[in-house]
Amino acid sequence: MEPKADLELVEEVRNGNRQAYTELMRRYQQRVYWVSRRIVGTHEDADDIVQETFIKAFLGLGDFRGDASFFTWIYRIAVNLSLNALRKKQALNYLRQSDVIARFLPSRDDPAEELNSKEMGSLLQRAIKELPEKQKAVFIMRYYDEMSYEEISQVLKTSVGGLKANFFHALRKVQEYVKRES
Amino acid sequence: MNRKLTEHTAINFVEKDEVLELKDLLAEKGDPQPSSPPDSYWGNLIVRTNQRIDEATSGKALSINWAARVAIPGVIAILSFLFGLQYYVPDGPSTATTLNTVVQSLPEETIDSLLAQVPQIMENYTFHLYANDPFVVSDDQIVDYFVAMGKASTLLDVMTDQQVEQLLTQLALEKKL
Repeated sequence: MEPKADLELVEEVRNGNRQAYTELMRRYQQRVYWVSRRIVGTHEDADDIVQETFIKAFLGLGDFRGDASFFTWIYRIAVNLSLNALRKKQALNYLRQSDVIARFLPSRDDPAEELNSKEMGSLLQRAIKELPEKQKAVFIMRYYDEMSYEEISQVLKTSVGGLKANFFHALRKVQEYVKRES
Repeated sequence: MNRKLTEHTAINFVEKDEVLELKDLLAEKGDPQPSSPPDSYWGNLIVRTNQRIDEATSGKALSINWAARVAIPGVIAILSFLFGLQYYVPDGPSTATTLNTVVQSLPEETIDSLLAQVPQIMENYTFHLYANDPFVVSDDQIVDYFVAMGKASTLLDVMTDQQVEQLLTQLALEKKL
């Protein structure tokens, strides 16, 4: 039997069929997980983001108009949530640098932190971590997911020209980092 | 048109070459791939997500939202009253008009229990503080408040993207000063 198209499943979910949503999750959970994991860097954070993504998508299914594919829509939610989580992490690290605030936050000796830094051990992961937010997202989508610029443009709602420039800069930076650090 | 097409093709060839070069370099260095979760993780993830969807759409979640709707204006009103009271005290010290001072004058347990009961309060609370209204306190005051209360990490959990950016800008400015 032919598998049902995404839009057909979306329609079924709208009509109250939860099983159809489980099927949509099964189809895309791995791609959503990996894009999140590559942006945020750790399994724990990616795990949270995948769940948040599917919850937000379920609750917002009424807003899904089908202009883009269901996958693009859900992928966009995941990327936005991942970037948001990254910003919060960045803010937390910034706060850690402040002596006044440091005493209220877990120290760097925290076992969870240690585990996370070990997970960021791959050379490529460390290079990606150094990239500015947008270059990071574009690089991950293009390098790992091999998405076309048109698809990335639909996810990030940015022009194709700008994305090419972003990817090119990111690629150069990653190459330089890998050559320098290896 | 032809020139554009040639340029486009040239860029794609350069990109393809550079990506391959990077992949070769990483393979040569033996750069490890991040470890994949076990197969059982995926089935479990769907179960956990479905449970959270059930919670989010159940009557329980709705009743919390309803409680929040009642509690938030109450807490905001109390804080506004205290803030206003402090602001209008005759001959009072002008530096005492910060929210930090007002909040610190309250028992810590009171604030903690309010925040614990209704997590959304904090979100609304920060939203109000960042609103473009001359009578609300400034960003650095809210940072002061959360620092004083030891709530910095909690604050970050409830802040929106825009608020995080504002906070970073504020902190960057303070660092320069």
